[in-house]
Amino acid sequence: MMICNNCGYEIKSGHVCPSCGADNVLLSKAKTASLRQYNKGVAFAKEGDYSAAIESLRECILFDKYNFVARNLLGIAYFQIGLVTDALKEWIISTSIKKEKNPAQKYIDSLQKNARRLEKYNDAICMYNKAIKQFKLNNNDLAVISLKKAADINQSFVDAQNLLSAYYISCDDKIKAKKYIYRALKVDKRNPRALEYLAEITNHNEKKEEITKSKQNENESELYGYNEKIDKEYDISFCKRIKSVFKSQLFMFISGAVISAAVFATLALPDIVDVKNNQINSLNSRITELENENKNGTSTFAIKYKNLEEEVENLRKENEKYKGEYSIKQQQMDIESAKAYIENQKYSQAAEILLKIDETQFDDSTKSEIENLRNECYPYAADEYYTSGVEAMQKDDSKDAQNDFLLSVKLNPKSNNADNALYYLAEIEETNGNLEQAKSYYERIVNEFSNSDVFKDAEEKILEISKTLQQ
Amino acid sequence: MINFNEEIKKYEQILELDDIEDAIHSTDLKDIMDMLNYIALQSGPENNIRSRSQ
Repeated sequence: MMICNNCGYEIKSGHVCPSCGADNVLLSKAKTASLRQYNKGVAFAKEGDYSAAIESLRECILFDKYNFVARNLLGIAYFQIGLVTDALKEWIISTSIKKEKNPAQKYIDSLQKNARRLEKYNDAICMYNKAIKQFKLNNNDLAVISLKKAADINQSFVDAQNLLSAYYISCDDKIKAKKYIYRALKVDKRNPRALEYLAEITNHNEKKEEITKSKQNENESELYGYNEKIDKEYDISFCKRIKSVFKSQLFMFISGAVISAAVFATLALPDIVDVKNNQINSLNSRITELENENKNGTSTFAIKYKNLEEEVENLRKENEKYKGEYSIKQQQMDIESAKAYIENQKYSQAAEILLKIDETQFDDSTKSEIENLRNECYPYAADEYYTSGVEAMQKDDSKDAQNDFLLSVKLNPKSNNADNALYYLAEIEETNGNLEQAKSYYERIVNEFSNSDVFKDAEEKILEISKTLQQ
Repeated sequence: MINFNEEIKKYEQILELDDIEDAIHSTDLKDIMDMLNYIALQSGPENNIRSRSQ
């Protein structure tokens, strides 16, 4: 009993599947042959011999048309020698055979993403086709121009390089021919046409001899009934197959992965670079935009900052307003307290409060009310402070005395005690060594109180201090 | 020296991008099993090797 390789049906007898009708012996042989050709194709592609790889891989898919892995590699080989459209065709067929997890889809996507590059490759092919037509019409000059363009656009385009080589050989321009031959061989290591042209240039006679010899050998082989060369190759390849039978699966996987990675890098890297360049450009333009906004003050940050400044200013004004309102209320309460003190004849306490009131914040009626209160209490308060100052002087408390006399003079500068208060203040300053300040108090007595009993003393003191200061 | 007029005949037109779709549609995917099936069909229905399906 065997399982059908095609549909999975259990075949009880024979090798033809009763379900799908597939001959499993033939199918298995075809698959083995396909795999063998695929392995050859991989080996050739790995060596850079894409012409041979293409040949093997085409045979591979001839044995098994559903071998999508071989189609993928065939596409890669086509791509390498500049046949981009053939590559694309193989990858599209491959994706139609296996829709999911097929690397061919990535290759197609990479090409489609970089449309400009694909367009260039196609242009090269169009020019090459045009050149062939022109050569056939004997428009060689125009054909060469088109062909050179094609070869320059896509330097991997082996057929274009080969055709140019052939043309230059026919013109006997060996230097130019060599240039294009080497270009072709650089891409496709053992391209048969390029090698043929090289032989044509470098060793024409030897080649002729070789061809003659090989023809003779072929004839001899035919005479003996077998081809020695083929036999040798068969032996070698058989031994190699035996040796590599355990490694083949791993080798297939690794080589497939390496080639896929190489092609992916070739196709995708320019895209990645383009994307990064676009990102850099957009970031640069964003920086310029932000710099301009910053200069013009139209940036989000500048607008926010301006708004915040305005908000702070408004809050500050509001705060000032509340402060002012609070101050007015507080002072209104102080005025009431001062009134109460005056009623109880506690003039010095009332004066202390009234001195601190800022009447500019009030309306005219309140201002006049404050003025009246001050006029009422300040003279009494001045007397009280004077008396208190004298008492402090008697207790040798010059600091308290000084404060009391200062208040007394401030509250009522023209009171009867003002001259004496000034004299006490002058003496305190003199004792403290502040002669200039002392002199100014004595001068006030002399200037403002000509009838004072301390007038003469003040005059003498002025002279005395002046002398001391002069010394 | 090569004969260029003869050499140019070896070079064929290459598939262009615009023609890919037509090329794929017109491609009749055949492998050796399909060919054998065709031969079998020609020689008689009893030897039919039915074509595979994916």
